[in-house]
Amino acid sequence: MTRQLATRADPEERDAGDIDALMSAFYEVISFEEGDAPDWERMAGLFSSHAQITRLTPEGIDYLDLSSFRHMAEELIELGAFTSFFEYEVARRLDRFGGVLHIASAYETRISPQAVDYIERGINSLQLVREEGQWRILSLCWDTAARFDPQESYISELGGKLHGQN
Amino acid sequence: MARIERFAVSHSRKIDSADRYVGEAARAGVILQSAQSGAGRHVVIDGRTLLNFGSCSYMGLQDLPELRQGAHRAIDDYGTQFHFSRAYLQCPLYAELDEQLRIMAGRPVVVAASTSLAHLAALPVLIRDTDHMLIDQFAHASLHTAVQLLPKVPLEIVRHNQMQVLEAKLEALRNAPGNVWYIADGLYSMLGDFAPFSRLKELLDRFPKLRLYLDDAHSISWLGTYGRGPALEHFHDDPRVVVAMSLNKAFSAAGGVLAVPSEETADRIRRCGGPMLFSGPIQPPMLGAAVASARLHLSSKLPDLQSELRGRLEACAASVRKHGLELANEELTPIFQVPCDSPRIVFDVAEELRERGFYCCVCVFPAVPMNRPGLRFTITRHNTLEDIEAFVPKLAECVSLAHRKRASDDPLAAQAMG
Repeated sequence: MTRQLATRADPEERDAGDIDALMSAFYEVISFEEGDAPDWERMAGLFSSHAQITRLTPEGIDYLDLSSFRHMAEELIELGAFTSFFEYEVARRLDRFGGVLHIASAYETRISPQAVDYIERGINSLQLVREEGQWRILSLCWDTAARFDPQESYISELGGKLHGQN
Repeated sequence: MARIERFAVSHSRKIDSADRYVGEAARAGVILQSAQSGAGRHVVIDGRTLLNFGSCSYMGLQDLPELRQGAHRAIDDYGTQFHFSRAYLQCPLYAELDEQLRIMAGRPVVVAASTSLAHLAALPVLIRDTDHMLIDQFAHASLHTAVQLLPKVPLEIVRHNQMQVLEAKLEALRNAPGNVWYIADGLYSMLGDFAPFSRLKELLDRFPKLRLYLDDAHSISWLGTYGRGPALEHFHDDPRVVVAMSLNKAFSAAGGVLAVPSEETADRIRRCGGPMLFSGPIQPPMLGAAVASARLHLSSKLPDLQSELRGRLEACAASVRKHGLELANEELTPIFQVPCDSPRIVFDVAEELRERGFYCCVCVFPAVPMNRPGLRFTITRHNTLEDIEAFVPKLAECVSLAHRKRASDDPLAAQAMG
């Protein structure tokens, strides 16, 4: 497994089509290097215009749409809570129910791709629907306090493999 | 719960989150501790006598006989408290302190009970309704608190030391009706880096409406003529700059000072700055220590003491290079920060160092961004060259050990490292 901040290629080329590309793009757009910011324009292309983003923290629940999520993130960046951000997918399980695709995506947040320890570990729960021939994220929900423990086989419970491995 | 139409991090959420993060560090036993004794070369914590690499008394003046005698004499003359509001009467020692600090700063001064109270007094007086405020995101928390007293004045946060961003904002505000205040630290207490003074001077030349309010608390005493710090060295004759100084930290007394461009401004802050009228004064023992410290700063002894500290800083920087330690920045200041990969690693390093007999401080969120955890250590005149030579290799060892341990304990990290 390698961890790298992916280069941001032509959005249409990277984001079109399959789930791998969508999930890869999802983690790319929310990650950013020192002094930079998330790629908001490209992020909007990955989400349905009806999308909901829900963040659970021990202090409360944030019910957001793309615009208010951006506002929250920009405020946190401005206040210096983050000056860079790197999140990547560790494992993934897919369940399809007709036109609804549910993805449980185990993630880690680290200070950099080279860091040996994580800042946060959790599960992004995503619902995808197909709009105009493309899978788009209709719902993103995660609990910042619900860490998975790789030593307790959480990864295998997800039914996934470490991302990037066969 | 009602849907949030436009998210803004609420005050209560910020406090609740801060409580959680600070609580984690406290439970890890690395902050909010009480020392059993010691404030100089050694500190005793949990029954362990540790070499002290966490103090802000960079010049180590607190044990000098003249400061101790100054405090004792003030108690003899005035007791432990001068029991009036300064709005009515102030202790006679204030007049002597004002006079000496005025020489030290090279401009009029206003003495407050603390640097935080100085900000709370000064900013609402200095900044007008038609002005704009720009504040560095890492400016001291007391500055971020003070600007909240001006809810009607537009406020923008500038990414840390990003002068091109500041310049663009100044350009956009060129035709704004009032002044544009840039509020920042002179020396940042967590990362140990200076404000870019030369660039700020250029911006002052280019933008007539720019005003600077700089908190130089961590640079006082150890740097500059009479220990006035780099902000005043650069700007003492510029009427558009206000500098806040600290009488704590390296000055080894108590209180805060505003070095302002004119007597008129000083008087206005004394008359209208809230805490100047309704907060308690610096009490006689610490006023006595402050007067004695100010005398020392104006004496021929200070350059020798500054030079002694500089020798230790250079020795430390050389040792850091020799042992291959990475630092958050390369500025030669008494504040050093060693970046680590996570808060857990920072806590591990701090504990491993205590096991080896050294005390230093952790830097984790919310004191620094979540992605900038690190171990902060300081060098003071109390640290001998031998102490520094013993400390740095142990620090390098502990940083390496803690990272390797986390990597080997974690299957995902181990896999990532091959």
